[in-house]
Amino acid sequence: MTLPTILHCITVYNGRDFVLPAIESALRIDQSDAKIDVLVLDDASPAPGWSEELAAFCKERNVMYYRTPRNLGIPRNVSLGLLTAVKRGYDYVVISNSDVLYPAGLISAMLPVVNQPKVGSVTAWSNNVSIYSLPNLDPNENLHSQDVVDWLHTTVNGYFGDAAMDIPAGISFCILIPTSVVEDVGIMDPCFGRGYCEETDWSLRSLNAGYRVCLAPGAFVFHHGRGSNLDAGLVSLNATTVPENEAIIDLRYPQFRSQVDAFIHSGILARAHADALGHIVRSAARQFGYSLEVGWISRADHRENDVRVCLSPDGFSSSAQVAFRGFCLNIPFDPQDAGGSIRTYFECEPNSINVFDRGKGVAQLAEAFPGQVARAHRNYPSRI
Amino acid sequence: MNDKTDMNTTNLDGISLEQALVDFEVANARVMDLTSRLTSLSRELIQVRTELATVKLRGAAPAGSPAQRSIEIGDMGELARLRDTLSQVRASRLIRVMCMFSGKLRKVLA
Repeated sequence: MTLPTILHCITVYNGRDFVLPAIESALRIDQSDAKIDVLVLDDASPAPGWSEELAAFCKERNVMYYRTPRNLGIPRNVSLGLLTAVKRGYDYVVISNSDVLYPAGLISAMLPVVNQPKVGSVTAWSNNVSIYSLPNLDPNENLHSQDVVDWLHTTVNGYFGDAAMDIPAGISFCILIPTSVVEDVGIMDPCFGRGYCEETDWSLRSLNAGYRVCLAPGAFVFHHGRGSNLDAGLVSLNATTVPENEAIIDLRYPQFRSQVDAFIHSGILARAHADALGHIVRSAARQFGYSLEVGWISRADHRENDVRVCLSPDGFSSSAQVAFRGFCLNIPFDPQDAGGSIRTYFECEPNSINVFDRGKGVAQLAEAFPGQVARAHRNYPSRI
Repeated sequence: MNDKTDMNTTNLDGISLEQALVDFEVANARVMDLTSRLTSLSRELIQVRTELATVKLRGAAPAGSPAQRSIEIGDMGELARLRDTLSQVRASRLIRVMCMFSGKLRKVLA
């Protein structure tokens, strides 16, 4: 059987700190379901010596490298990738930022989604992609590692599989598009200048052409977030968008903002977030173990793979806070049945139970987990 | 052009150039379309602003005041009175005789 072919385009503008790991990460994507060629589109990066370094890096790794003679801006650079995929006969094209880390199983997870009926594009899930982000306290600190990205991807993929979530618009930080759809819908509109909102426009054009715009909750890609756009001087440090480009979207698609609001308030995304976080902490607890901590305030000195369940010492709270690598969520907890609640949720025993603050709940835990409770009192109560 | 392009390991110049020419044509067409829409909308804007100002003045001026009469010129109020007066002056026998002897008066009443 002939494998489908994919042109994986990485758009680059400066970014010495993060581009090379992104390319390395792209090169280790599993090719058992598709033949993947990586194309680096350097949009005339001005950083001294950077293009030479990047070109040499690509040549050494047999990666296609193309530096534009002059700066095109993101929409035109992306269009160059789309057109190259079409003209060179690829079946699919991936458009991606350069401040990302891909999981090895990326394409195997996204291909079954994009091959579902009428799907025109598939965006991966991430930590820093507009509303399609898994909430995390500090993604750069907690998730910026190839191993962690692979683990997270495998975990969410194990739960969501090839589920396709219809969304209002795709994000080109990592989007997979069949080239037949590019031929039908066209490329990015250069009226978006140096970039921002061009993929929203493209997504809405594809919707108007009858295609579905989908998110693959079973694929997780790490995204630094705004790294490439900050480098390009596209947005300032505290800005999140380009108002002129949003105005074009408002003009062309007056209903778009209300459609996004309706999607957010539908609860679909919130449910997916809760399901994903729940599955992540349960998987981590089973794999790495977990600890119960009785205290008013959760401790900050977490080890990387710690799953911590913070229980209130008074024994009255009906929820417990779980934290793992910056992911936080509340889980149901019955203070009358402490052991049952915890065992039902995690389906395994805790590794340790540490008591930092005294209270009625400590006695209940001691009964539920006899012999496991360790005293770790602080010098004074943690809460004022 | 930039001599750094000889570092490329794949050549996309043709694809890029072809699309640049298409973009150029589209950009030109857009400029003409936008210019046409801009001038048409500018005219509409001036007309709407004039109407708005008239409506505002009409609402603000007391009834029967000179200001309101001046607004009503569009309704031929004050202007019609002026034209009537001028016609009466022109029709006067005395004035017609005077016009025979005064070129300036003929010009004023022309």
